[in-house]
Amino acid sequence: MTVRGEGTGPAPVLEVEGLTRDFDALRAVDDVSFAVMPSELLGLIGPNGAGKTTLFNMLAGALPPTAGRIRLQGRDITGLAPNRIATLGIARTYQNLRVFPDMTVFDNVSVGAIGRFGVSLWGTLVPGLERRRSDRIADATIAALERLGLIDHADAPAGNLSYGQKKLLEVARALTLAPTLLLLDEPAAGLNPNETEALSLLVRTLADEGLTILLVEHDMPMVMRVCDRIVVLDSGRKIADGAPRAVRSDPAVRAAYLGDPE
Amino acid sequence: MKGSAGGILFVVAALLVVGVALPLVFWVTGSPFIARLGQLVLLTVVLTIALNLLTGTAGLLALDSVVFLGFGAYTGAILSTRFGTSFPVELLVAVAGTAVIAFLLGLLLVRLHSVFFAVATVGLAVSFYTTVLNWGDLTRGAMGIPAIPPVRIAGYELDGWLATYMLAALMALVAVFVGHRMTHSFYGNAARAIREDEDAARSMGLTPRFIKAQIYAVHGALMAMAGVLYAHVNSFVGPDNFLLLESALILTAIVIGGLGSLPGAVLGAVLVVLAPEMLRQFGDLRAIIFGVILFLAILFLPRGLLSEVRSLAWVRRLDPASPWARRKRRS
Amino acid sequence: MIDHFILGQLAIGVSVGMTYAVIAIGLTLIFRVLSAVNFAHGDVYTIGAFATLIGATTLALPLWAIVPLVLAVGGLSGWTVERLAFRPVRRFTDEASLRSRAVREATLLSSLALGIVVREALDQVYKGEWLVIPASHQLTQPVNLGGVIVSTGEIAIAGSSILLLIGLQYLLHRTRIGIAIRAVSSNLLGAQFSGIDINRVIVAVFIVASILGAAAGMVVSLTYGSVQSFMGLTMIVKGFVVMVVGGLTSIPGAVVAGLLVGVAEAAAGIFVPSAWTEMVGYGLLLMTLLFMPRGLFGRRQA
Repeated sequence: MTVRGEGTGPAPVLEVEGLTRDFDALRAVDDVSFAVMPSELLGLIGPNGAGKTTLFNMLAGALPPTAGRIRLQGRDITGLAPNRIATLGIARTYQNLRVFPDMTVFDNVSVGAIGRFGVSLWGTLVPGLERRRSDRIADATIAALERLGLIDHADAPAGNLSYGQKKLLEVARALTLAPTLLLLDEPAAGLNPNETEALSLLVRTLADEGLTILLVEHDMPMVMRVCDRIVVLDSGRKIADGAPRAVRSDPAVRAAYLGDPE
Repeated sequence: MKGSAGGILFVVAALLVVGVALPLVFWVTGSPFIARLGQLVLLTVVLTIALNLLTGTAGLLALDSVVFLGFGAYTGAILSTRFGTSFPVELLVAVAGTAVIAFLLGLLLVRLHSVFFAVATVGLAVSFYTTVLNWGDLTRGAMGIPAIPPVRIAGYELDGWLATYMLAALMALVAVFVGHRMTHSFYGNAARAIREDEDAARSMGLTPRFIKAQIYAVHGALMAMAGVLYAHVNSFVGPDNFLLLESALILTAIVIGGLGSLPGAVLGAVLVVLAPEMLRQFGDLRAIIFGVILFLAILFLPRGLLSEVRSLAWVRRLDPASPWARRKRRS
Repeated sequence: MIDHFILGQLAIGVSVGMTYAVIAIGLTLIFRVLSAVNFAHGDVYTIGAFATLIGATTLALPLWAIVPLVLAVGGLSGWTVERLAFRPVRRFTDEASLRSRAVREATLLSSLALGIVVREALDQVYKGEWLVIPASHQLTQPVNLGGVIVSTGEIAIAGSSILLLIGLQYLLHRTRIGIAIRAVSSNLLGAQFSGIDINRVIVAVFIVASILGAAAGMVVSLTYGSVQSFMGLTMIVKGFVVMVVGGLTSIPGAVVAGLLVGVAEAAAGIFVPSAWTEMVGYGLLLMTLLFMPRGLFGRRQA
C-alpha cells in the first residue's frame, strides 16, 4: 500500500469534512473528517451508539447533516436526495435487509441498473424505443448475478433466499449501479462464520479489482483482516484513523471498546 | 407482444375470441342484451387494468377512479351534445386533458403514503361529486345530461351493437397493451420496487414521486378513455354514475383478480360484471354482495385468484426473449 | 359591527365543527394504536343516528332513554367492527406486523367493505329516503342568545361534545383501561413487556371510538331532524380531513381542526351557495398536506 499523505498521490474519491449531526440535544456525529482514496477499502468501526449508522445515512443522503461537507470526486453532494447521490455514484446496502421480497432475484437486482440507466414512460409504451436501454439493464443485471453466484436463483422470489444470499443480493443490486463508492452497512451482521468468511473474501476481491468501498462493521476481526485503513468513531467523534495494526494498538480505541472512561 | 411462439399464439387466440368468436355468438343468439354485457365487460377491463397499474403495481390505494371516468364521460357528453363533435376529437380532449390534470394532481397526491393517499382520494371523489352536482351550467347538476348521441366517426353514426362492441374491444386492447408494456418491463420493476420499499428504491437512484405521478396520469387517461365511450353507449351521464361505490367496485375486481396481475385484472372485470347477472334474482342487493365479496377476498384471498408472482412468472414463460424476462438458463 | 346573521352562521359552524372533532377523535384514537384508519367509522355514526330514529319511533322511548341505548349500540358496533374487519387481518401483535403497511391497507379495505355492506343494507331497508325524527324528539327550538338565534340542538351538540371530551379525558387518564390505551399508543413494545393484553386494548379503543361516533350521530340527527343511510359518508370524509389537519394523533389538534373546518365552512356559506361549502374542508386538507405535512399538532412521524 502506498502512503497517502495530504496533497500527494491521487485525489480522494470521498472527502468528509467536519460532518456533524444533532438529534435535538444529542450530537450523534461530531465534527468528523476523513477521506477515502481510490480503490481503498476503508473500515468504519466504533462501539454501539458511536454514530456509525448516522454517519452512514448522511453519506447515503438519507439524513441531512447539521453541519459539514461531503464531496464525491470533488463534487459537493451534501444534503442531496438519496436518488441523486445514487446516480452520482454512491451505492449502498442495508444493515437490516431491504430486499423487495415479492419480486424475483433478477427483478430485485435489476432495480440498481434501472436507477443507473433510467426508465422512461414513453420508451416503455412504444415498442422498440427502449430496446438498447433495456438490453443494458438486463446485461448489467445478469453480470451482477453471475459475479455474486446468484444466477441460478434468478427466477426465485427474493423472499425465499437464505439470509446470507439476501445480503449478497443487496451487494449485487448495489453493484449494478456501477458505483464509484460502495457503502456497506454491517454486511456481516447475522451471518454465520462461514458466510462471514465468504463475504470478507468477496469484499476484499471487489476492492482489489479497483472498487472503492466504505465498510461499516461491527465484526472487529473481519474489519481488521480485510480493510486497508480504519476510522474509529466513539460518541460521535473520530478517535483514530490509520492502518489496522496501528488502530488495534491505539490506547484510545482500546479504552472505547472496553468502556473505560477517558 | 413479441417473443416465443407461445406468446404469439396466445395473443392471436385472445384476439380471435374477442374480435370474431364473441361477435358471432352475439349475432347467432341475436340478443342485444348479451352483446351489451360483452361490451360492459370490455369497458370494465379498461377500468380494472387502469386501477391495477396504480393500486396493484405501484401500490397506491386509490378510491378516486370514478373521478377520471367521470372526466371522460362528461367531456364526451358535453362536447357531443353542445358542439356535435366527433368521437376522435372527444377522445383526444378527454384523454390528453385528463392525463395532464392527473399528472399534476398526482405530483401533489403521491407525496402521501399508504392510507393517507387513500383518504385524500376519497376527498377528491367527494369533491368531484359535489362539483358535478352543483356546477349546473356545465353539467346540468342532478338532472344529468340526457340524449347523448351515438358515437360519430368521420361523419358516420355508429349506432349498432356491433360497432360499439368493437370500439369497446379496441379500447380493451389498448388497455391490455399499455398494461402489458408497463407491468412486464423494467418500468414495472421500478414501480414494484417503489411499492415494496420506497426508501430502498430511492437509494437505487429511482425517483418515486415522478414515477408514481406518471402511473397516476396513465391510470386517469385510461379511465377517461373508457368514460367517453361509456357516455355514448349509456346515452346519459349524471352524478350518480360516479359514486364512491363504483370506485370500490373496480377495486373489488382487482383484489379478487390479484393485485398487480394483468391477467387478474381482466379476470376480475369479467367476474364483477358477469356475477351480478348470474345473481339477478338478488337484484338490488348487488352492492351488498360486492361489499361481502370484497370483505371475504381481503380476509381469505389477499393475493387474489391469479397472484402477481404467478402471473409475472407465466408471462416470463410466454415471452422469455423480452429483456425484462431475459436471464441465463442453468447449463 | 358584525351582524347577527354572521354570528349565527359562526355559531352553526362551531356546533358542526364540534361534531367533526368528535368523529375525528374516534378515528384518531384508533390511528394512535394501529396506525390504521377505520373506514367503517362513518357508518357507526349512521348507526347511531338510526338507533336514535328507531328508539324514537318503533320503541317510542323518551329522549333520556334513547341516550344509553345509542351509546350501547355504538359500543356494540365498535366491538363488531374490530372483530370482523380488524382482528382477522391481524395475525400477530408485535409492532412490526401490527402496524405494517400490508395490515394497515388490508384493514382499510376490510373496514371499507364492512361499511359498504352496512350502508347498502340500510339503504335497502329504508329505500335511501330521508327519514324524519318525530317532532317531539327534535332539538330544533330556536334559542335567542343576545340577538343571535341558534337551535337547542346546536347548543346540545356543543354541550354534548364537551361532555364527551371530558369523559374521554377522564377515561384516558383516570381509568386502568384508559391508561393501558395510552401506553399502547405511545409505546407498544413497552406496553407489551409490562403485561398489557394488546387485543383487549384494541377492542376497548374501538368501543370508545364508536361510542363517540354513535353519540355524534344521535345528536346530529336530533338537531337536524332527519336520518339517511348515506349520512356517514360525508361525515367520515370530514373526519379524515380534520384528523389530518389536526395532526393525525393529537386530540387537541382534532378539536382545533374540527372547529377550524366547521367555522370555515360556515364562513364560506355566507359568500357561496351552501352546496359548495363541502369543498372548503377538502381545500384545507390539500393546503395542510402541501404546507404542513404533519398537521397543526402533529408529532414527528417515522
